[in-house]
Amino acid sequence: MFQSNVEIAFVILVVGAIISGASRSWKVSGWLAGVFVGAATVVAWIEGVNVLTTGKTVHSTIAQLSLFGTTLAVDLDPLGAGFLLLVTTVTFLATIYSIGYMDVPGPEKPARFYTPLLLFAAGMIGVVSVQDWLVFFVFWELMTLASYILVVFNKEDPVVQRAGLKYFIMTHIASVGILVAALVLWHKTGSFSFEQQAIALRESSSWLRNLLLALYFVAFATKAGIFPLGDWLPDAHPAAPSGVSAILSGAMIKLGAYGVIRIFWQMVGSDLTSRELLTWGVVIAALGTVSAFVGGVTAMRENDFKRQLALSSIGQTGYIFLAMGIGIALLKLKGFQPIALLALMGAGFHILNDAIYKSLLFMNAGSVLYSTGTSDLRKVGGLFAVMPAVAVAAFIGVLSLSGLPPTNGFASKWVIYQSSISAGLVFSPFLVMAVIAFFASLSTFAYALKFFYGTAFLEPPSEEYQPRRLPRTMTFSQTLLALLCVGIGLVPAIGIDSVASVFQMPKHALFRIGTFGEIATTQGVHPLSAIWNPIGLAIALLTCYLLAEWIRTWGKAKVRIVTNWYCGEEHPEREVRFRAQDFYAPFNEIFAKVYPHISVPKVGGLQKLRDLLDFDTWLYRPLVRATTAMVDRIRRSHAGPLQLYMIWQIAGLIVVLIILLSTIR
Amino acid sequence: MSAAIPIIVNGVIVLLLAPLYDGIVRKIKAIIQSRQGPPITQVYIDILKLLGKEDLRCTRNLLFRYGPPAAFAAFLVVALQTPMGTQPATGLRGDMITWMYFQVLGAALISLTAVAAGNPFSEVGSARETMLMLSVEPVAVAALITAAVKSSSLRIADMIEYNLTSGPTVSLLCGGVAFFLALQQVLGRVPFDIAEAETEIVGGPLVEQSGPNLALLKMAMLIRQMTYCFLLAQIFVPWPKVSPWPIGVIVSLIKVLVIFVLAGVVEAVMPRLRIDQALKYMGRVLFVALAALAFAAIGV
Repeated sequence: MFQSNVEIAFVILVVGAIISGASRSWKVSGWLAGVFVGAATVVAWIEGVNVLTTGKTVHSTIAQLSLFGTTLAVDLDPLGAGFLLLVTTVTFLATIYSIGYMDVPGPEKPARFYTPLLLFAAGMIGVVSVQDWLVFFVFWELMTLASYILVVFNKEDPVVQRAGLKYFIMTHIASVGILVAALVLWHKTGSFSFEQQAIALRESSSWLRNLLLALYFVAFATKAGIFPLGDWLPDAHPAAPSGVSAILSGAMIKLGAYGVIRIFWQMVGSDLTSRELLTWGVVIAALGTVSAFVGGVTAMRENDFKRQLALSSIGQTGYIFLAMGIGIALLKLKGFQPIALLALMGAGFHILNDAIYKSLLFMNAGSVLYSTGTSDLRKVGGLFAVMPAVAVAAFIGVLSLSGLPPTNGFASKWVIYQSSISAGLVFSPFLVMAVIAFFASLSTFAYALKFFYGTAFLEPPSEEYQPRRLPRTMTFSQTLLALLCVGIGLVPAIGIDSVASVFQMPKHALFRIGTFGEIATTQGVHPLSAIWNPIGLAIALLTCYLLAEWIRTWGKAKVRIVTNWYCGEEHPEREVRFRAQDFYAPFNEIFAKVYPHISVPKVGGLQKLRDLLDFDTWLYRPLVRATTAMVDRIRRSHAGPLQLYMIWQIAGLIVVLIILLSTIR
Repeated sequence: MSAAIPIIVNGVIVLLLAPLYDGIVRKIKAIIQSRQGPPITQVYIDILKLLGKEDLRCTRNLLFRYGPPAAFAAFLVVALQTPMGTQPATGLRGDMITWMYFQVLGAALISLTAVAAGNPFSEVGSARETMLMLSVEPVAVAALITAAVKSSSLRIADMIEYNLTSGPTVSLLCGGVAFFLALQQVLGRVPFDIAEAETEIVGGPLVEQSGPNLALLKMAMLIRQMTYCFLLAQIFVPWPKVSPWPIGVIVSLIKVLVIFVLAGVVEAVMPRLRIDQALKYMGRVLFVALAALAFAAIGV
């Protein structure tokens, strides 16, 4: 009945959405959803690993609509398979996490959460495994719609409503771009398939081609959350329940990057002139760099840790786009293809790593939120003692986000820096981008490691509250992700090899894996020589640590427990606390002008521009109000006494009869 | 060359000679300020004595206890990766990116230890330390990227080799100047000892530390200072080329001593800056570093 495992996974998810929505108990629903997503994940892994190892595309046609030139078919190539594995795994872990997290006391039914969650997963699977723009668009919309329902889960909260609305409208307007571009090309070829449309794109005039590319790019970049198009992201991520934030950030926004790679690298990469590629690449890389910078600097002054993480998503997507931009820019320059491949490798590797540690971090943030009931950094604290396992996992997560060894975050940044510095040999602005990216990475350390981690887990809390203990399902997902972070950090060859198979690069084309896992750039292929021995350095770190512990024992110092020392005066801890919002005050002043406080000077004429930039007042709200009014009017025609319905029915019958009688004759 | 030699050489330099260098600087500072000053062995005495002092715990936080040795280890690994007159050992080979990030790892651990102490003074100090780091590391990275572009390699050993054979070049000199201007801040010396600022926030990140952990933290900072000075001396001023490696080590030790003394003189005659002044200063230095990058990009 089914020709490919992807269809089975999809059907499992849809059936699961119905079944797990039927139960009234949150626990039962959660476990059902976990089982269904787990089954779908296993099936998807079988198919994905198969495609990645053989390098062949799985093809199976389900239905053909030749009238529209569209085919409902599974077309899973290595690029799609890589993302398929990523998406299903993140969703699975987040679902397991949600079983414990979604402990909702109110009247809310589980169908309100698990059904859209599974449909969301189904939509994402659909997006990565089809090669037909119309079908792609349908799944893309399914994904957006389901995720919107999840984002506005706390529907009583007006902030959440606003965030959800912004997300919905921004991504929708942007994704219309995909449809418009696809329709224009359909008009030319009469087909929606990726292949046919790519040919049509190649044959279009230069300006039309670039216009269509821009439409695609805006749609995907908006989903990916790149600055300034990703303005929805810092609002929507914190609004959603934490398990959903993990999927949004770990899986969904990566599909924006998937779209860009699909379009620029696979569909038109070989058709554009090298000049066009260079322009697009530089634009994408510059946007990425700006995102990395803005994400880092703005997160430093945020007091809400979920918002901080959302801003860090903008920053990390920035790294991905920086690397992708470099890859696109140098794709056709003679002699520099190795750099382009290296940059693509960096982008792919960072997508993988970011998915792992970002979903981990959102789960950590969710654990803090679950335990304390607040996401305000000025209130939480002292959670190391409450949840030691999560504290260790979160430590690994923030190390990874900051790109510090020995975690996976460092591994991909290592590749990205290499590619941007070597690309700088060709086009020097990339050098400056590398410096800015490095600064952004340090600011990540400043807000994540110190601000979020230090405040939530290490410092004493500033208010009295009773922290709740975490259910096991929540700890399980976080532990697993933390292990993945360290595992890939110590043996990055695994990640590099799997990304190479996703991009169908020959194994060891870019890196030589030496004894003891030493990674070095292959001589003669790559203009810069770089080397890194993850295991050797980790062993050295451990040895040096043991040396330090040994030195500590020399003096046989006695241990004594004391209280904090405040220069001889006695204060209760809470009174003298250094408040989180003042951490980086001098620094934030320097960058006060950076997003999201866009302050247009108050000069008469510019007031109009200000109003124009405030989409909420003149676009979103009136639009919604008009829609509600219209729906209300339609609704009113139905709400009334039974007799009214009868009159409507009779009137309708008469109208139908008149039409029929007049036409039949 | 046997694999053990570079490890032993680097280890001896950063663990045994770093306190001596600090002692010499303290003596010179005292002479400039017309004081008697401590003996040059004072730093050794301090550290050894601290190892036997009481280990006071103001919190049960694990990072407070394990942070200092971990930071010590991270900086020691950075030191072992740095070519100090010899080639680093095979298993420890790394490039400028690993060098930089292990360095940040050490700083991060110190900073987290300070937060874990739960003392407002240490938190202020740690926040300042982070801000200073944010302003100084881009300068160092821009200077290192300049060297990477010139030598077409990210490996520190290759950068040194390039500058030895085909230097000096305008861009590398410019990068060296930027690196030197940033150095005072990395060393944590006046006018940039803002994070510790004994008279203002009573030692900042160190305020709650005592006994063996304080000794390890002090050692970690000395290792960091020594490593940074070596990097400056080796990459940007690698001349003259000397053949047997022991003489090379001695020559670089002399160069590093000169850098230490210069830093000490600056320290002796300057007052401490405020944090915002320091940030603005580093902003200007960044332009020097970016100029070095620009020179490298046009190939001089």
